[in-house]
Amino acid sequence: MKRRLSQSGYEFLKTELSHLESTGNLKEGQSKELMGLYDSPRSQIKSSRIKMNSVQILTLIGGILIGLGILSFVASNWSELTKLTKFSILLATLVVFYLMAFSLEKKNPYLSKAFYYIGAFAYGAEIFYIGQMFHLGGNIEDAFLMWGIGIFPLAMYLKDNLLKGVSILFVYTFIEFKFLLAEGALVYGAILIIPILFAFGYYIMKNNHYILVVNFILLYQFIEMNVMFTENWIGYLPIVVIPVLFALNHFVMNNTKELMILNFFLLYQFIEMKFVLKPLEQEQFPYVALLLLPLLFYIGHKLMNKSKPLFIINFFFALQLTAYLFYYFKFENLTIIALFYFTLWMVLTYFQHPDYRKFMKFVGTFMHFPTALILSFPITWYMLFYEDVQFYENAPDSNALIASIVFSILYLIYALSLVKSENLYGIAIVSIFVLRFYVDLSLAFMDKSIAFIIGGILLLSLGYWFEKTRRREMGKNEELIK
Amino acid sequence: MKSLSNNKLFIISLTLPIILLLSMTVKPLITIYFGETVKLQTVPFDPRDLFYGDYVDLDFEAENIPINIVENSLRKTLDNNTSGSYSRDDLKVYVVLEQNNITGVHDVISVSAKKPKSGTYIKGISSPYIHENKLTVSIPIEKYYLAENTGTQLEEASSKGQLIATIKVYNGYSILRSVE
Repeated sequence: MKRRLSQSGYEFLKTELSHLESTGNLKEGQSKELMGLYDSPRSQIKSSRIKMNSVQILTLIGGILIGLGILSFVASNWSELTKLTKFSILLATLVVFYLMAFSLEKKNPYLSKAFYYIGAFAYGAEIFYIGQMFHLGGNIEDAFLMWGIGIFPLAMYLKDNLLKGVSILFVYTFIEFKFLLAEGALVYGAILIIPILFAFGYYIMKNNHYILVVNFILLYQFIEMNVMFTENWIGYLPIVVIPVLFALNHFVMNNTKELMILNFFLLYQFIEMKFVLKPLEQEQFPYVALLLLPLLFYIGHKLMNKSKPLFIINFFFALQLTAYLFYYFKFENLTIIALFYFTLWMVLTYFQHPDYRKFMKFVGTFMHFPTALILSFPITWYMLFYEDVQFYENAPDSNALIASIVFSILYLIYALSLVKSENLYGIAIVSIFVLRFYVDLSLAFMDKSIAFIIGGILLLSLGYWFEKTRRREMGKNEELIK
Repeated sequence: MKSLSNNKLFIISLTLPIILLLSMTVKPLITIYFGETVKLQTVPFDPRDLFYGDYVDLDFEAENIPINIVENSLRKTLDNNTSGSYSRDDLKVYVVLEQNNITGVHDVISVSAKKPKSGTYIKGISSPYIHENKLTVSIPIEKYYLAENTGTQLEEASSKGQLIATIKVYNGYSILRSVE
């Protein structure tokens, strides 16, 4: 076995040996030969980095699971406790976990982070509990706003991108529900809020690219909801608005790729409204759109210099047309539809057009998993066996269940083959699949809060064990060096 | 944010959630302690909610209001909307209640767009149209949370038509207290 050295020791030895070689104390090539007796620190680092990642993932999932346990504890109303006790327990969980996390920050950063996550979850649980305590219910978006605002300082403090992302996502969820999907006067609140969001992205989030794009998506959605879907003359405003947006991107925003995509998206949607939805509404076949499609691909490929944004939009347009065609022919067999898309994603994962390889592979890879998840539920399969049965519950035998299990096993084998080739996505697929079945089975036999908490503790201890092993191994290395 | 020291930012991270949580309880608590008690006839059923556990969805008799007790100026707006000439947005309304001395339950005595100067009233959202001579008003109390798996008992009780909700009302804001 090769001898192991720390990175600095390895570097030191290497420079010294090559120095000896250059002064003639060693023969030419001998330094390389000698260095070959040692384990390159690069391979060591690689393996320990993978371990660190798996620890992070485990603590993360563990934190989330315990958090879910707390959430579902709220949901299941522990009837023996008084309201005030429950309120206090949750508040205490928040405070205690934050403080524990704070004190562990230096000693055990991963555990500390997991504790912060649990605290943030307890906070969310408390928000929902207040809703329950006073029978407020209803406005789920307000709860998300409170959650998002409440964890934002923590995200800034930890400089944790995941928490930042979640916090901002919650606030945007609130804005989406409250203003963009609202009816009546509140819609005009968006006119005020969208500029504030742009200012927030620019000044506080240091002009973060993703936030900018999300803000533009909101702005576009606003235009869409209030202009595109209107029946009267306003519905034709896009003829003016869309060229203005293209000009804006060209002259002011330095031809941002994402904005370009959004602009084309609006343009295509306009086409869609006029040539697809309108005919479908009158039960006519959308032949104009179908004829336009190859033309659009042709324009993008030949005339627009193989434009990638255009290809992306064309791709989604084509995808949408497939959905409309299912609708037009009143094809309602969910099993076949799901299998159709699943096959499509798998094909895209492995076969791409050379000019658009990256995008096609991306879409295929990231879509086959959610589709497979849908296909792992027996309810997706029953239509394949009994066309006339209206509800899954009325199915006469367990064919659908068997089909879903066979599918899941085959898909898991595929995911495991990904894991074997060290594909992180494969690991994610396997974990979520295992979790999905764990939830399904454990919920049938156990109280769900206990199930979640046990799962979470299991994962956390696994993370702790990994961390300990890693440290022990590093300690051994240090001793070897001495 | 840079001017803040790390410890201060941690303290903010900890106190902001607590302040937000406590502030959420203020309005309901004020209503419970200073509000007036109102009893309303209900029509419930029993779905489930991922975040909140078991609950009973509540519909109140007071949410279907005969058009003849709607206050005049509001009625005009509704008539215009129904004939299709004005906006279709939902309306904010005040449902004025009075206790029925025989049943003990509160009945709607009028609905108006302006805040009443006195009496017991609940803020609600009204549909912009009149439908079959009735106005549908949604009172922002929808759910009554229960201990898990007790929803069926209440459901059975409601099928006998005897469920009454006790509500605290303060300044138009309402908090559900119990369902019997």
